[in-house]
Amino acid sequence: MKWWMLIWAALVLNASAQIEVRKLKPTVELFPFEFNSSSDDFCPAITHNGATLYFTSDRSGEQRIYVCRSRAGQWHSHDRIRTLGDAKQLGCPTLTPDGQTMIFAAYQHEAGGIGRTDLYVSKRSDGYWSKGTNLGSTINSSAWDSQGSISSDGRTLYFASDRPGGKGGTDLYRCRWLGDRWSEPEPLSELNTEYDESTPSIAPDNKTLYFASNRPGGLGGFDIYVARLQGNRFGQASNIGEPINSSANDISYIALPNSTTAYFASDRSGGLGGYDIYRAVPNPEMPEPVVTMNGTVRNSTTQIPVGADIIITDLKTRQKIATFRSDDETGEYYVTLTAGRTYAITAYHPDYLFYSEQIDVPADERGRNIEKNIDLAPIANENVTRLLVFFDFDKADLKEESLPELDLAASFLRDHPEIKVRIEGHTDDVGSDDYNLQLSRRRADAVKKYLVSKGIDEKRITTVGYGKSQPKVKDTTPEARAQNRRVEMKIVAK
Amino acid sequence: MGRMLRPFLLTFALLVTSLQADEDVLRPQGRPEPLSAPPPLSIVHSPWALGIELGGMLSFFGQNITQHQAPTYQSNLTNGSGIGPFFTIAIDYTLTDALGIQAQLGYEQVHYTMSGFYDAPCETLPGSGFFIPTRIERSSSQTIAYWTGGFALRYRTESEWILQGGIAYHSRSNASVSTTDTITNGTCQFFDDVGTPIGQRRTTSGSNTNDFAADRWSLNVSVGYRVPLSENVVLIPRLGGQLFLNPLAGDDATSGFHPVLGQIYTFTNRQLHALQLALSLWFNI
Repeated sequence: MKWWMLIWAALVLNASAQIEVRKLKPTVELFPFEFNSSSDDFCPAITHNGATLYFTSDRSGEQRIYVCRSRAGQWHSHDRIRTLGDAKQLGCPTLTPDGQTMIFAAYQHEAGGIGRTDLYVSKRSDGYWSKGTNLGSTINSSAWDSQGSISSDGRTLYFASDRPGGKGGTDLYRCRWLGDRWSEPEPLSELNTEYDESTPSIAPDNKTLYFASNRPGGLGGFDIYVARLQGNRFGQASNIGEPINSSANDISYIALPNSTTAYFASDRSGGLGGYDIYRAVPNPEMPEPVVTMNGTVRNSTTQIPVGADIIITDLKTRQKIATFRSDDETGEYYVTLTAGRTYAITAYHPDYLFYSEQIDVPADERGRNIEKNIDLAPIANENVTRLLVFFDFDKADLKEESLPELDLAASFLRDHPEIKVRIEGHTDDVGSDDYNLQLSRRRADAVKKYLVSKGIDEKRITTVGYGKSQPKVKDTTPEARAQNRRVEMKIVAK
Repeated sequence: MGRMLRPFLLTFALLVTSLQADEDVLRPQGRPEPLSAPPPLSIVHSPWALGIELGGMLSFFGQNITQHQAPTYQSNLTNGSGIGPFFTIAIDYTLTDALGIQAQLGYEQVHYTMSGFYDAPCETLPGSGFFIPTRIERSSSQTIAYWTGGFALRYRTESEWILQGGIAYHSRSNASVSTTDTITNGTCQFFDDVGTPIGQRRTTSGSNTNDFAADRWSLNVSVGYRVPLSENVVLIPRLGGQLFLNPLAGDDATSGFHPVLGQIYTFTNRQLHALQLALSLWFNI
């Protein structure tokens, strides 16, 4: 073979390889955010439905949080959030997926601090953010604590701190919600270095963590790195590469659920000045797809939106997966779920009968959105709610996964001592009438027995078994039968 | 003078203090010094900026008085100072990240006063030939206006300080001189041309532009601090100095010549230099 034939073959092979690489790694395009300014604009935070974007800017001379909303795919006018309380510097918000709770950082906040910059929490109510309250000395230290990122289940908080005991500079920390308090922060020692690690952001899959670091080996300044949770520890962090990283400082990377879009901040040349926010499409390090669920909570009579507390419970482990709230103004809620599990969703408002429903999320439904609107019945005679209780086949013994729901029913009855209820048992159409009548009655009695054991006066509770006489759906499909097997609680006196 | 300078100095101090680095939610140690050269004065991509500057200039005048005969009242008027306003518009063109060149046009009013005491024989009545020694305070005020034009080289440090140096041409527009004599003791009075007493204070004033050089050149240096107000507007408080290369006025033997006594004194080396304190607003264009 002649030498030039060898060179030609090599060139063809190289070109083929490059084409293959291009196929595997699509070109990432960067788009400047519409509301960048000549000052620092950074720490983007977006609600998981992608409808509201918060960011931090010092365009007013002080770092403050701004918000803009999406309409028809465009971000619209930005407003400064003024209700979080006064502080010398305030910013870097992180939001629960429903957008109803915000954790932000502030330096010299009027609510008082544990140390220097601290983390604060604010709740959204009637369309306004409450004044921030300090997250407390369990999380905050006498050092600089900032840049929180809360997991999509609201149960893990990541943040950056320069507290003593770290590896050097600013390090990443994690703490978990224990049901009534946060755990002590633990350093992410597998990711921290003697250099600075900052702006952690846990993706909606609760596994993929983005953060910035100025460790050696990057493209210059702060670069964005990604690491994935393996068990309880994160795997090796990898540089997310160009064009997202540059020779300038690149920080504050966030990913949206089931979306190819990511946002980050950079002070690279060509911007308007200081840090600017950019949109990167496609996200070269996508988190795992997740199941999202959204809907609206309304008054079943008037259809007026209701701001209700919503609890998502994993029915197998009986653990509360998420506790959040629908928006007071719109009634909208949004939550991220892990596929392959069965959940109970419960909406609760003091003025309404609570509502519960079982939600099955098969493992193959990753990337799907479930829309679930909830109608809450006002507390009035004859209004009824289905109790999410479970029995073994052909038995009237309550299964353990029924207990959270019945505890909620007991709590409801304690909160409304003026109410009397009737527990109504129903079965599907399988079996004889007499058998089903007896079974439904025994199941209703089991529910009453549990409620009485929780301190509810038995005179307030009556029971009845309807067997298969009052099906909810007149059909014989497995889905219809599942709907018809139920225990309901009806208000009979108020 | 101190009272007039105080607001400028206070404003400048507040601006500098408020811009000192402090901890924030992004940086535990506050905003660091920029690693690279700062962006051009023009924040957006145009290299041009238009500046409007308003300020006050503190002028210092000095002259030598050579006495040819016995000392006279003029010997006390060797130096003076005063504050006058100035206004400048300028165009800045960014050459590099740190360097720029400016063309400036302006109007300035140099003002200074001098005062001193002297003893003079006072005629009790005009034409009486009877004189008594009297102590008189002489106060002299000069105001000279100039149109100015110049060029400057501007250097912007990484910490947002602005250093400037340049040369300016000053074309005299008009000038006014006012002299007031006040008798501080005795009962003597001044008399007008027809012999009517006019009291113990006498003021003479006039516009005699020829007393001052028509053209002057100055070397200007200044230091300022850059405060961005918005995306396209920058405020720069600035402290500068003007070192004039030629005298305020030529040597003067005329006013010291007496037709009988001859040359009594001459003024030489009549210099005036100035300090400038100004606030300028720059607009990207």
